[in-house]
This record gives sequence, structure tokens and C-alpha cells, in this order.
Amino acid sequence: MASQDVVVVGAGPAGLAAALGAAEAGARVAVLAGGVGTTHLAAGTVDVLGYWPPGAADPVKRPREIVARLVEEAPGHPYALVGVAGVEEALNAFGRAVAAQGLAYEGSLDANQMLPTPAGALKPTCLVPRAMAAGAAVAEGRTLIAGFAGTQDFYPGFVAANLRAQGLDAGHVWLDVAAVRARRPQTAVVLASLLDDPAVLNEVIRAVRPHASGVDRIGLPAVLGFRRHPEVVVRLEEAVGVPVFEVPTLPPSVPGFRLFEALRRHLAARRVRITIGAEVVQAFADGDRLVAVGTATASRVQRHPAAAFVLATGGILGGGIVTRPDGSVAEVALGLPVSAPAAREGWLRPQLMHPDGHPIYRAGVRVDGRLRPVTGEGQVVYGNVYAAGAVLAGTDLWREKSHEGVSLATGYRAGRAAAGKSVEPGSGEGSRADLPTGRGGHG
Amino acid sequence: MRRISADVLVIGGGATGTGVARDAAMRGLWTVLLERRDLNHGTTGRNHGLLHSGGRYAVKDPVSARECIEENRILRRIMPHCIEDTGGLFVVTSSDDPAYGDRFKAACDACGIPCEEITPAGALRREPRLDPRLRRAFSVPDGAADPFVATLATAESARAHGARIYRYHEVTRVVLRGGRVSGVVARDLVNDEEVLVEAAITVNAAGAWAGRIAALAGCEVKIVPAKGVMVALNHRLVNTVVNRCKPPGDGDILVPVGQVCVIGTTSYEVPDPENYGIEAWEVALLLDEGEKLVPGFKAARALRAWAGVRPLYSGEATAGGATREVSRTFTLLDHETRDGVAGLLTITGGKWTTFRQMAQVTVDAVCQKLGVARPCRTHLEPLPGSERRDYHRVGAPLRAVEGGRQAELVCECELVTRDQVETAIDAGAVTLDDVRRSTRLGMGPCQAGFCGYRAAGLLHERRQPAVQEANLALRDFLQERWKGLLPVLWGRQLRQARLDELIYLGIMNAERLDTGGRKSPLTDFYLQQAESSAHGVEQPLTGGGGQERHG
Repeated sequence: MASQDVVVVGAGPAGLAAALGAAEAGARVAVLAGGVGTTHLAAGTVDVLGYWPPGAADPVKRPREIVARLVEEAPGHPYALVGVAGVEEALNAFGRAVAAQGLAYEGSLDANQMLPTPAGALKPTCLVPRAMAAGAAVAEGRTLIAGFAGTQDFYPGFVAANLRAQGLDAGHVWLDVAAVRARRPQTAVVLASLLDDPAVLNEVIRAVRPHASGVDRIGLPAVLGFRRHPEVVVRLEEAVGVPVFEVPTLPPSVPGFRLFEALRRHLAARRVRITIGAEVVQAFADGDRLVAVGTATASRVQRHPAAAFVLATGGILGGGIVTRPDGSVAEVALGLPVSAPAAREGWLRPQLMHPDGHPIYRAGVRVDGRLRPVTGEGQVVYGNVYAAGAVLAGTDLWREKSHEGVSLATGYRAGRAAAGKSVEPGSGEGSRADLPTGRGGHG
Repeated sequence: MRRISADVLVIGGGATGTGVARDAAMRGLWTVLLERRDLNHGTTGRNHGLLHSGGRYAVKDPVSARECIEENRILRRIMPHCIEDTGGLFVVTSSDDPAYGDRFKAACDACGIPCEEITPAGALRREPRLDPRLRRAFSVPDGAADPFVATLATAESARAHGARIYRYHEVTRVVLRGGRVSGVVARDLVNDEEVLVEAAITVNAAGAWAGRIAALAGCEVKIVPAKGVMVALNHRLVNTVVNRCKPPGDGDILVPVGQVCVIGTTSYEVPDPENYGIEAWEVALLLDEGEKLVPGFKAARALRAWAGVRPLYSGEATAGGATREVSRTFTLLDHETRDGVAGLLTITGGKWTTFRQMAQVTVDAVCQKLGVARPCRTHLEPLPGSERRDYHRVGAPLRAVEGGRQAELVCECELVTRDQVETAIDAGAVTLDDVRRSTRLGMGPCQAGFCGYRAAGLLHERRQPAVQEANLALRDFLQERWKGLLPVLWGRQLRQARLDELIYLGIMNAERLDTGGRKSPLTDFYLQQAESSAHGVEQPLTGGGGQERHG
């Protein structure tokens, strides 16, 4: 018998948002995932909409306005299904959840912030972790970009030079910190754990301080502490006397780890069970209802029944969508119909950085106005299954810089819907409706 | 115009050209080499990495087979560090004619190629992944070679003997004076200036492009550009070079190269050695053929596909693209006796395995024309880097980076260290692809996903160029890798490509980096090659916002 009302498949940003939405609506939630998703790879910011249309030269300044325009212009886009109000509702819920865990995010749908990237471009992003916030002010005053000598994943001179090429006042310095130099291998996660050590942090402070005079802020790679992150940032800022900000690094992403941990703690406090390493490989259906999903174990397929399900397995990167040499494209967890280019010839463009992106990355599951997967003819496949995040068709999240926005908005909405919070397609706050009664007793 | 003079001018910086330059310089000739791109940019850098025993040609092309085994022995002596002594097997699979094995064995014996029949059980003990239904197997001294390192070592030796090597110098005109080639005019593509090179003898070692160089001197040399496609798989499925024991055909050789293995090749004539695509059917065919040797082959992850264009020379035109019929032996053309144009030699045809012998024959002719009587010594003197007198071993790079304090790795896939990348940058790399050719940067599964950014950062750090140059270097390198990914993007490798998009688009917004409208000498080439390959959406690059930022 079912021990949960809602099973969420996937533990990336969409899956965790779905769990949050369902749990807030009072449902008992279990999250099953093969792995941890893309949170640990991406920058750790919440990008809602950076460019629209995706190939536009200029960044979106006011996402609220442009998301509203997008809803009108692109009915197949996931944002059109949740509306501006749905995006805002999800961002608010997300903000409350992470803040409750001591990981504050700043910003709103009113304005994008332009954050320096590790290449020195500026990327439009909507919600920014507190530790990155000072980076949004690079247009004013002088910014120093500092990197650690002897490490591979951050080049402060390259960042500063590209900032200068955009007319900004920026300089750079390499910090020589013996404890950092001595460490191999040096992924961002290793370095962040190193900076948790007060002795190492003091070394870093000694290296940074001489360069702090005459600058308005200092940017460092996003390794400012792992377990003791907020404390590390506070100590560093106090010691150098100017605001300090993190710049994302190559994966793995420390801000992504922190984000995942904050959401995981928050959900755990709401009795959401998250099982990583439980890959859903099978769907158990009864007519037009899904009664259970099956996860692979060593000896058999284990059934997980629930009243409703959220599919948040990601796209091609997350592993929710697989592609084959014969040109077929499939949704792997539940075997749902997929919308994709007809043949391999139509998947990719000769130019890697073509502003319109590659058609295959827009492949995914199509859904109705309530986020329920549909067939090519528009028929709902299962009345109690909702899909969210990168598994959805119709958008290229990295090109339009909407990854976390789409994931949170559709995830949160799908979670609420799965918990029985019925919502009008494209509308904001849902109205309380029938809580699940049937509990998929086929387990 | 800048002027350079020499006894011998060599055109072409592949295996053959650098081999000629080394040989000539070792014989005391004042030698200049011009390469229009980077060393190894042409066919040498796009080959199979196979040190032939000659077994492949023993039945149908015994002249070439004899050349191969002779050179096989010499290269093992002078450049063991460029060779992994994998050995080779010729396998009669269940799809092949068992009687061909007898012809093969007899032909190897006749050519002096050590060849021993082993039992199917013995072959399977050696290579357990082979199809167990195999009927017969023969052991030969094939090996896995690293043509990149070999050319660089050859060039280093040439320089040590006084040769001057100019990269990114494209020959635009051959200077004829009274029926004699007195040199060439070249364009320095980096500094955008013309250079006049005067030489007593000019050697055309331009490979698949040799016909074009000869034409500049008014001579007709019919090169058959025969495209061969190869696919790298993300596993070392075999540790031995495995050949199908049958008449040479498509996709019948599997070579273990470093951490991966490479299946190849096809052989089809293309109209232009510069502009060819990799067709979907070619990749599919190679994977199907690989499946016949190693069951489960198609389930392995294809990393990349590429093609090299063989400079086949048949003397006369071949009919209908049947390039398998053209001998793999080499030809030296003396345009004085052939066309009445003195001072010009063309060396063409051949195999990578025979490049040293091709150089020797060429420089013998050069010496005769110059009245110099100095014997060739390239077969006696080991190349720089071979001091340990030992073969390359697959675990050596790992041992090197793990020895003592771990090195700083820029490319984890290929274990390329920061020192190696900085050395390549300081040596004058024009593109990050040049760094790749001398270090293997970006040749592993992620195809520059992680190391592209790092290399661009290091390039900026070392050179302090205008930042737009570093931005362009990054974009060029990613596009260069993309053209080889396009034919094999599905499944896990497409997933990898999407991770690279997360990095460059999602984290870095790198598509918005300013290149200031710049182009490198290869920017257009990378895009054009991608456009020629299958599986690009046929759509002109017009319309849409923000086009111009792609420079």
C-alpha cells in the first residue's frame, strides 16, 4: 500500500520544487531519483529569462514584463502554462525555503541582475545567492577579481579583461595561498572545503587584504566555504573591509551544492523522503491512471505506489530524455510520448553557437495546461501524472537563460497539482480543491 | 617583401615534409619548410595511428608491403616513444572466407613480414572481446603510432640540424625563372605579409594538396584525394591492432590509441581535399563493421569522427573513385625530366609508415641535383624524445602525472598538464587546436568542455593579448571540436555535448563574448567543415538576432 500521496521522480531543481509544492499543499511526498540532477553543475543562480527571443542581442532587463510577453508569443513554452503569476509564486516559495535554511537569495521578477561569469561575460539572472549579490554592481566603481594561483578552474585576468572590454573598471590578482597550492586535485568543492578551515581562511585573508584598498568590491571563485559558507563570507568581508562576491566556476558548482543542501534540509523537515540512487525504470498503469512507478534494485523492480506523480527527470543532460543513433528520442522513466525533430538530420546545426540553438535540445514531453503529459494528438496520457523542468518540450533553457526559472515554476506548479491543488492553466494562485483520496492500492 | 633563402625549400608540414626537412638538414643542406597551417594539420594529423607491418598490403600491393615492414623496423628503432608495441592480428571472422588466410600467410612470407598463425582460442585469450566465432587468426608486427609526436620530434630534429620551419605560411605563387623553379612567394597568415623564399631545389610535399602546388609551377600532377573516415570509441576495446583478414575494405581495422580505440577507414575519392563532409552512412558502416569484429561495438560510446585525405597517386586518372585499387606505394616526380621544369620535385603517395623512406629517396635526388654526396642517416639517428629507448606504454601519462606531487591538469581526459599547455602556447600556437595537436588537449570524451575554458584562460595569461583574441581562440576551438562531434552525437555523447552547453552557455554566457569581428586563419574552415558534414540542419546562417557577434 502507498505510504505517500505524491511521488516525484527526479531530484534536480524541478523535482525539488515539485516536492516543495506538494509538501506545502499538505501531501506526503517521496522523491525518487537516479542521481542528483543538474543543480550541482549549474551556477547556483536562479535564471528566469535572460534573452527573449533566445537569440536576441540584448539581455532581458525586466523579466516580469518579458515573461508576460513570452506567454503571449510562445504558447508552447513552459512559462505559457504557468503564467507570470505562477513563476512569481514559485520564486517566492523557493526564496522562503532556502532563506529558512540560512541561504538567502536576493532579487525579484522586477529586474534581472547582470553577474560576471568565469569568462568575464555578464549574465542576466533573476535571483542571486547573497554571496554573489555584490557582483551585480560591477557597473559602478572598481572591481577586483581575485583567483588562486596554482588552480585550473578560474582565470581572474581573463575575467577582468572581458569586464574591461565592456567598459567596466576591473583589475585582477592571483592569490598565492600555500594551503591551496598544496592541494590536488583542486575541484571547486575541494577548495571550498579547504576554506572552511579557519587557518586556511586566515591565509586567504592575508593574501587578499593588501589588494583591497581602492577597490569597491572583490570577486573570488565560488569556493567561499562549503559547510561554513555564510560565516566564511562574513569573516572575509569584515577582514578586507569591502564587499566580496563569488563568481561561478567550472562544475562541480559549490553554490549548486549549497542550494541542493538547503532544499534537501527544508524538505526533510517537511518529512519529504528523498532517495538518490533509485532510478525509475518502469510505469505501472491502470488505464489512464498511473498507479506506481518501479525503481531498479539489485534483484527486482520495486514498486512505489502513489495517488499522483511528478516527472522531473530532466532533459538530455539530466538523462530524462535519451537519443539513439536511429534518430529515435525517448522519455526513459515512464515511456511517455516525446516531441522531437523527425530525424537525426534535423537535430543539430553546423554552428555550435548558433543563436537559435540546436533543435534536439528542445525535444521533450508535451503537456496540457495542467502540466499533464499528452500524446501527439493532445490526449492526456495519465490523469494523475504531471511533468516539470527540462523534460518538457519547447524551450532551450541554456540559450534563453531560463533553466532554474522554468524548473522552479513548472516544478512547484506540478507539485501543487499533484497534491490536489487544482489550478487554472496559466493562472497564479491555485484554489484548494479535492485532496487525493484514491491512493493507488495496487502496491 | 621579407626574403628567405635556402638550398632546399620543402612545402608541407606533415610527416613527409618534416621528414624531408630533417633528412636534408642532417645532410648539411640549408633547409626551409613552409606549412600553410600548423604542423600535422593535414592528413598526418587525421590518420589512423597505425604502424603498418605491411600485412594489410601483402596480397595486392607487395611493393608497398615491403616498404612498410622495412620502415616498421626502422621506426621502432628511431622513434620507439611514438609507438605502442601492441602487435597486430589479422582475423578471419565468420563473415570472411577462410581460404583467404592461406593467400595472406603466403603473401606475408613472400614480403618478409613475420606472420604466424595462432589458434582461434589463442586469439581470444589475447583479445577476449573478439567475436568468438572467428575462424583463423594471424599475428603480425603492427603497432599503434602517434603521428603527432612523431612529426613534432622530426621537426625538432630538423631544427636542431639548422632547418627553419615556418608555420601559417601559405604558398601563393611559384617563381619560375628560365624554366626553373627558383622559389616561391608565400603569405604569412599570422602577420599578413608576403615572404619570398628562394631555393635551389623546391620539394613539393603537400600531400593531398600536391597537385595544387605543382599547378602553380605549370605542371599537372593528378592526385586522387581519397577520403578515409575514422571513428573513435570511448573504450580501449582491444589492446592489439585488429585487422579483418580479407581484401582491404571499409572499416576493417581497429587500432587501440591511448585510452580509446579507432575504427577505420573508408576510402572514397573527394573532389576537394579541403572541403568534405563525414556522411551518416560512413559512420554507420564503420560501426556495423566494428560489430563484426567485436560484438557490442555499436553499444560503445562514439566520441568523434574525422577524415583524412590520402594523397594517392596513380600516374593516370583512376576511374570512378575506386581508390582501393590505387597502390599505397609512393612516387617521386622529377619535374625537370617529366615536365621540363627544373628545380622542383614532388613526393606523393605512400603511407605514414613509409614517410622516412619517402624523405630519404627525395633527398637522395635533391643531393644528386646539387652535386652533394652525403648519405642519408635518418634511419640511424634516434629522434629527440626517444632517449629511454623504450616503447610508449598506455599507462605512462598517468604514471607521469601521479609521480610525486600531482601535476596541475588542464585536460583530465587526456592527462594534459598545465606545463605542457603553456609550452605549446609559448611555442607560438596560433589556435587552441594547435595546442591540441602538440598535447592531445581536448581529444577525450568531453571534447574541450572543461579544458577549452582553461586553455583560453592560460592563453590569455601567458600572452596578454587583446581579450577578443582569447575569446576567439575559445570559440574557434569549441567549433573545431563540434565539427567532429556532429556525426556521432546521440546517446551519451550528445548528453556530454549538452553538459558542455551548460558550461559555456549556462554558466559562462560565452556565446556573448566579444570577438571584435576577428577571424583566425581557420575560423571559416571549422565552420565550413561542419557544414559539409551530415546531420547539420540545412539552414543558411541568416536572420535571427545577434548574428554579428559570431564574428
